[in-house]
Amino acid sequence: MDDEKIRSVGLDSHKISEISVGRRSRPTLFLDVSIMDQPDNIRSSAAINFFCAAFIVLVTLVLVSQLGGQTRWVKRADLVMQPGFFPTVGLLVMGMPALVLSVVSFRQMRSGIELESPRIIVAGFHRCCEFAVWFLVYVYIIRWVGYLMATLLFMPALSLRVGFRGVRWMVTAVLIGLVIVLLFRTGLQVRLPDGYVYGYLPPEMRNFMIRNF
Amino acid sequence: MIELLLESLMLIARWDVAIALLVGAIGGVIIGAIPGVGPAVAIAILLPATYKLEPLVGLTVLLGIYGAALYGGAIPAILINTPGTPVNALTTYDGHPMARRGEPRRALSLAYSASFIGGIVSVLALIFLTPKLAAVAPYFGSRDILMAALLGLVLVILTHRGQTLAAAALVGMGVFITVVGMEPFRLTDRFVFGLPWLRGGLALIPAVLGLFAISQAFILLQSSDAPRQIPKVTGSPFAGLFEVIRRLKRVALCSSGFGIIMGIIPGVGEFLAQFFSYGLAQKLSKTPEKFGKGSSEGLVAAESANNAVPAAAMIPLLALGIPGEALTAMMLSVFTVHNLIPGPKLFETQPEFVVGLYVCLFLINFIVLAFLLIATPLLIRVIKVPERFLGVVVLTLALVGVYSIRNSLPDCWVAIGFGLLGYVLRRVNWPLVPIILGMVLGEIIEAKLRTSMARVETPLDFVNRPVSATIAIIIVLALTAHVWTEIRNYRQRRTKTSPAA
Repeated sequence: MDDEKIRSVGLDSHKISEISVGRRSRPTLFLDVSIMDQPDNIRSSAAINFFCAAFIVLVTLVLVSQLGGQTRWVKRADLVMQPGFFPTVGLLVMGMPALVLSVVSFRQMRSGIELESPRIIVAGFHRCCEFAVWFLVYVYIIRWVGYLMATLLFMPALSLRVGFRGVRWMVTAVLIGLVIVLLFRTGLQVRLPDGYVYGYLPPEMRNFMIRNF
Repeated sequence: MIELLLESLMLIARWDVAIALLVGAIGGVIIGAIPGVGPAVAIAILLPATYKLEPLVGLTVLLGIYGAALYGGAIPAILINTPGTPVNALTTYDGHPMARRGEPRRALSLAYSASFIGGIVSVLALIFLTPKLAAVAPYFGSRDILMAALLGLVLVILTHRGQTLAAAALVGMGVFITVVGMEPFRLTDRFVFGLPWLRGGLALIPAVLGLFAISQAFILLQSSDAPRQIPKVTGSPFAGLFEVIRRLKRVALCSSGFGIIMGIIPGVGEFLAQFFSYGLAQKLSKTPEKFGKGSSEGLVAAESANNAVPAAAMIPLLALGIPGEALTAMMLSVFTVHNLIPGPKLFETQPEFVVGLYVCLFLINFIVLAFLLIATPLLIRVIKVPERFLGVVVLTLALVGVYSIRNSLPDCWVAIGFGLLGYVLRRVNWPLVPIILGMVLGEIIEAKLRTSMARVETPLDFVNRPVSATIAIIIVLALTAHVWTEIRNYRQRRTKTSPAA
């Protein structure tokens, strides 16, 4: 399965391995779907798994250290009925497999920790953070200019940012934005905050804008 | 029975239900035909919007999208070798080779017809099996539901073969996320770190939207958008339909049966259904060597199996209130928002709603088939939409989903947090579904564990009822089989890599 296909459908690795195994030897009733069985993939998978699992172990340890302070111990209550019981179970289920996975993955790495792996894990992460900021700016400006205006600004601006230049794309982005607003806010009356600027409109128009946009 | 059916028909004979049927069916096909979007993203976005609608209308839209997207996903799988939804991956095996040798119309027609048979057979299974399960459901006590939810979690972990440890850690993460906020029994704070907005807990919807929609938008926004070559589709759209009915009905029915069984079992879903069906069809075929090279049997097996799952996945949800996979877990929230509690009571108090839902599911399959047979040439244009532009649209729509729940800015931050987590998990090819099922089933497990404690003196009391004992035995058997398989594989690997070998 090529990279584009994986990227476009966002497949999980067991699904990818199912497909890649199937390409080599067609699927049988008793499927061998483990990517870890494939010698070529052991190194990279093991290194990536090690870093991810180790990170989860670290987070679990931090949360375990907070158990006493973030949950209360109730007197004269069974262990299972304690407010801290289920968080402990959750942390155990999260931390123990991650610990085992980090040990197993570390042993599978043939030449120690590969420094390339963290780079693979966070590749493109800075761009995600940028898009996250775009999203949050969109969220905040709705409170100022209203959903209609915010959407009609956000869609062409982000389209421009990701490389869609030219009038045709701008018009398409504005039209799709308008359809989204009309469908969800005007049609389905989805609850979204009104813009502060609506307060400066004449009364009839203000009510109309608050009700529909 | 006829009276009940008439009451249900009265319930659905409304313009809003008719629109919901059309929107769900046609919208689902279009969403499925666009590689990179998929039903999970669409349902996550639309979920809060459906809270305002009547439950039957909202569920019809969501179920329509769920089922119809799998039909539509076959189009890019066959024409450009890129599955429209992840579960159409096996369709590329035989569908695309058929398209390359000049039979794209036949491949599409076969895929639609197989999907239709899978969809209809599974709705029939839903109609006949749900009342049976619902009749047994009153005998399910807290301990039985606790065990059933536990079985769901175990199966979610075990079905991620090759990634069981990662899936287990992510299930634990999901379980832990549910405990954040005010504890419902003693009303004490848990892991709120002094933040007042966290006392309400981390809601499912921002988490789902972040993990599925926003992370997918991040991926799409960074894609390279390579140009796609689409073959011309000419010929009769009905040829495949007759071929499936005349020559391939056995494969279609067997695969649908597999899909239904896999759909009912919590945590399994479309992937294993289609792989088992494909494997079985290949074993039973007179021409197994053609599989993977454009076999009509392979195409029919894969498509009918994955389309049989959506309706079958509703069986445990409607009968017991236990969702078996991420999409039905999202739909559970539609029931709870409208104070409808899935389970045997639903069949007693609102049978016309349940039958109405069956009829809607039935109709969706007919609308989708008719739409596909007519509109395929138009749908092919959808495949050409650039992925980065789709990313812009998905991110814009994600806001509607996140913000409209309670106009909460912290929800947006939570969704972004889960979006970044989802992005990293997608990058490293770790599964997302265990987190969601950990959240949904974790909540059920905690509640049922506490209510069952009144009747439990020793740990053995958890399994002293027939149902809970049976489920416990299934859990032990599943775990034993998994451990045994792992040990066997480990030994085989060692034998292969040892110097003597």
